[in-house]
Amino acid sequence: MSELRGLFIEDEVANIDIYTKLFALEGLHLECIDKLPATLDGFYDIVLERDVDFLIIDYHLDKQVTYKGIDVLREIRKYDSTIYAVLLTNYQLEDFADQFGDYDYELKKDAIVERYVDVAEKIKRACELRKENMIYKGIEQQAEEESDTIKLLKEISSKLDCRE
Amino acid sequence: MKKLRFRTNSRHISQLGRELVTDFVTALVELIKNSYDADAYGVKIILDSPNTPESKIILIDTGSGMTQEDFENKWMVIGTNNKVTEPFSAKGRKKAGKKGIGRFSVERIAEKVSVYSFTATEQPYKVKINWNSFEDINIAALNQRINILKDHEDSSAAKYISGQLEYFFLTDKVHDSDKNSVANIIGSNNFEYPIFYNANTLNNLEKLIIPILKKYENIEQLVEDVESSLEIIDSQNEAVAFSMLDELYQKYGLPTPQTGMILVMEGLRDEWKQKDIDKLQKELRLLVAPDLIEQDPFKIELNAPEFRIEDIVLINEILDSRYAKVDAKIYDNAKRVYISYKDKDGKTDLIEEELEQPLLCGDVYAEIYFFLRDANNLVNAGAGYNFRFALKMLDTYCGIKIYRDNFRVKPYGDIGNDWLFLDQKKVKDTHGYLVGNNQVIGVVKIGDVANPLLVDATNREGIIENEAYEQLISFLTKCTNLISDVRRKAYLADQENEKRLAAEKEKIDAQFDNVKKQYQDNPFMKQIEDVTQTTNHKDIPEKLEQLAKAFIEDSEKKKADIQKLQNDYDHHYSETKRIYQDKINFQESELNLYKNLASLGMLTGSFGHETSDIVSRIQTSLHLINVYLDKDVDKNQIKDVVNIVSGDFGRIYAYSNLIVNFLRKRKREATVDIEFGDVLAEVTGFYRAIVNSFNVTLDTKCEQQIIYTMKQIDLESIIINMITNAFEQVKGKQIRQIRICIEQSLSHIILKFEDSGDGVPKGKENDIFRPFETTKEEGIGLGLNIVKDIVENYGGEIKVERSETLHGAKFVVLLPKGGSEE
Repeated sequence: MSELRGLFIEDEVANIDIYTKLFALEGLHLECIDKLPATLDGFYDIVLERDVDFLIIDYHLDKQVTYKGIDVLREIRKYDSTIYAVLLTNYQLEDFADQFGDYDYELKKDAIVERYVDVAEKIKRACELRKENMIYKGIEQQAEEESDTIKLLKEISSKLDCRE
Repeated sequence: MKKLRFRTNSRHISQLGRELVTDFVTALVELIKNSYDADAYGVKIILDSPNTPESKIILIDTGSGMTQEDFENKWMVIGTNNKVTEPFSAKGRKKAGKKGIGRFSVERIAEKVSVYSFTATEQPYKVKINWNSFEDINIAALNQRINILKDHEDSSAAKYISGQLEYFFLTDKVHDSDKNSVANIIGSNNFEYPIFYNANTLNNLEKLIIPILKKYENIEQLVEDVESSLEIIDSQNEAVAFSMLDELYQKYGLPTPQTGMILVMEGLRDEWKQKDIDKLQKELRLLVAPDLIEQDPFKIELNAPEFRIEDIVLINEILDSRYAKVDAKIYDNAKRVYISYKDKDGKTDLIEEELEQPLLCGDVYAEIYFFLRDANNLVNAGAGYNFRFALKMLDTYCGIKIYRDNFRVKPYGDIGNDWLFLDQKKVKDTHGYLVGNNQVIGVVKIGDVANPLLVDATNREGIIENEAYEQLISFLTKCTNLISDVRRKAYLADQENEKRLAAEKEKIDAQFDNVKKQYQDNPFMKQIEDVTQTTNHKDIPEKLEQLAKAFIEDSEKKKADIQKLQNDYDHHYSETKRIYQDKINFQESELNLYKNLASLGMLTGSFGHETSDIVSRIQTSLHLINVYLDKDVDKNQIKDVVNIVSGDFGRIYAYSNLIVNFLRKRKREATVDIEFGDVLAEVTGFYRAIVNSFNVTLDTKCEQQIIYTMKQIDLESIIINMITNAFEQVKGKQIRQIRICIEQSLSHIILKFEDSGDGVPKGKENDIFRPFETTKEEGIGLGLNIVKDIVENYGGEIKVERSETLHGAKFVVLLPKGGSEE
């Protein structure tokens, strides 16, 4: 499996430096956005352009923008429900689990040292699963397409039989 | 065999003086201690024309003077310390200047000194010493001072050059031709230091004079090469000196012969500022214990017209404002304890104990003055000071201090020194009757002879904490507990009083209802009607007269009832007011504290997550370093991480400094003259690092010399709340700017806070100052309300408008000059 690439949505240069180095220890490569966009519109386009496997988003982005990391996650989830996302927080969010699903993980920064190995494993498993799912979905889609073709061919064949 | 001996270069005199006594105020205090040691009754200090070339300090004392032999063989011999061999003065005072640094103090203060000595046994004499004679030429230091003066007018640099040149002219090791050359270049050999503020003179100095001086850079002058002459004086040739001493003798009505010393120190080395005068007064007032002033008077008089101080005799008049006083002693060879309490309401209490075993601490005498920190109790009209000044004095001199043989044993009773754990206990005080350090001025008197087991620590900072010391603490705790106990009883009595007042109120209400009913039920009209309807018309006048009499009697009775009701009510009202006024005062001060704490809370709310971020990052960085070290990776990678940690420490240091400094007790409680520029620089200095990390620029501008009497924490609250408010407005915005400008008009001090946020919506200009009014999701809405409260407390106002330059909000705070006075 090639090195997994994640998008790190972060406003603080020092955090980018340190957490990129930390996840690199586990073979995860993080890319960052130099300047966060002023609004949430088009955030998903950035994710598509970067073609990344997972996301790490800091909850606090107030050094650069007025929206929060959780707003970014909500925006991306409108278009993609399966990309694995880790939300970094300083304080436990009250209703994170209720608002988000299995592909979203809240990680408190003060626990990052003890949790990052597990989190990296989760990311890897999730990415693997997503990849498998995508292959499976591709096969399913291919099978569906092929059965449609067969169906069409059968229809053509029966029409030809009638003429005969 | 060749015999060798050490010799001493003359410059060591100046080195010793300026290095041994680093602080010039302390140097002056040392000299005054010498006056005390010489058994002076009075000492007068005149600070004449400070911060000018003619500056001088004259010290006159009525001590025993110094004989010629003592002057020559003790004062002028470096290293002698007669205070060790002769620890007590002739009158039995324990000598204060233990370190023998008085002579160096003179050198520390000024360039020249004239010492006049008047003893009982000899003719008065005078010795003039010019400390510049002991200098040597130091070209590197001269060049450094020249560079400073090229940049700005610095008096200490100019004085240094002046001193060096004076040495050059005085020493016989320099050729006369060179002296003449230098004098010709400068224009004279008699000049004042401000000439070195002139660019041409500086240029000449650098280009023409320094090369001449350089020739003498290595000349060696020994201490014994420099001579000073002693001259016998009389009232004819030194009339001024004689009259100065005489004036002091006349003032205090002291007996002849008029003995004493006069030190005329000319060419002061330092700039004297108000804070130095304040420090001097404080140090001097603390020089001797308050009760000592009564028993063994030592009057210190200060005259500094430039600082509006004219012939002030320093005394501790704050003691007159005490609420209660405790006199206590351990006596009879430490076998008996006596503690008596007396307060201004007439309450007294007494503890007397006879001990089976003598206390190890020995005989001790203690006086504790207890103060209630409110306007009613602290204002002393007789002494002419107001509540704020009284608080200032109390804040400055509070604490229970130990005096060994009449001199302070530090640090006991210093500000912040809680050696009796008073503040520690006071924190838990919910009813306000425990004694805090800032409520007491106390003196504990011990002595080498009576208390041999209370031993000084080897570093001379305090007493060794042995069993004797523990017993001393226990005894003094008993004293403060007695105050608390009386106060507790008074508190309970107050509670009872409140209940009594409530019952009294009910009684008055019942009386009132009764009177009201009497008026409502007035049968008089009906009785008149009955009389007029009677058939026997002859009886009518008589009955009416009887009715009128009855009415008058009834009215008189009702009037008396109403009067009584009024009196009862007035009494009740004044009693209630008296009881509740204290509570209101206390609650007001608590409220102020909570407001300031709320400011801190909002600051923390604004930056709290930032600190969590930093702490987590430091934690992760340390983990990374460990991993890198284990993996033996490139050192540069480790360095990168270390750099990040280092930056993070800087940020967190700034943040904690802001909080820790903000909470300092003195800032919370003392109302003093505040230099706005200094406070603004201090607060924004800490704040800037934090806001800069959010890419917010914080520009400040403050006119010089804006001074206002207020609590420092109030000004800091204003600045912190306004910056926090502005910061919240600009955070995350494209343009993030905050600008603070402080200036003054004839009538006001004006603080302007501008930001590049969205500004205040029209129609909301007043609403934003209401409590809990906020536009932010996570905002509290107290910041602006607190600022408004503080500003209005000082008689000022705050308004908001649109910033023309930054296009966000612009808050203008106006503080009226003079409005902060009581």
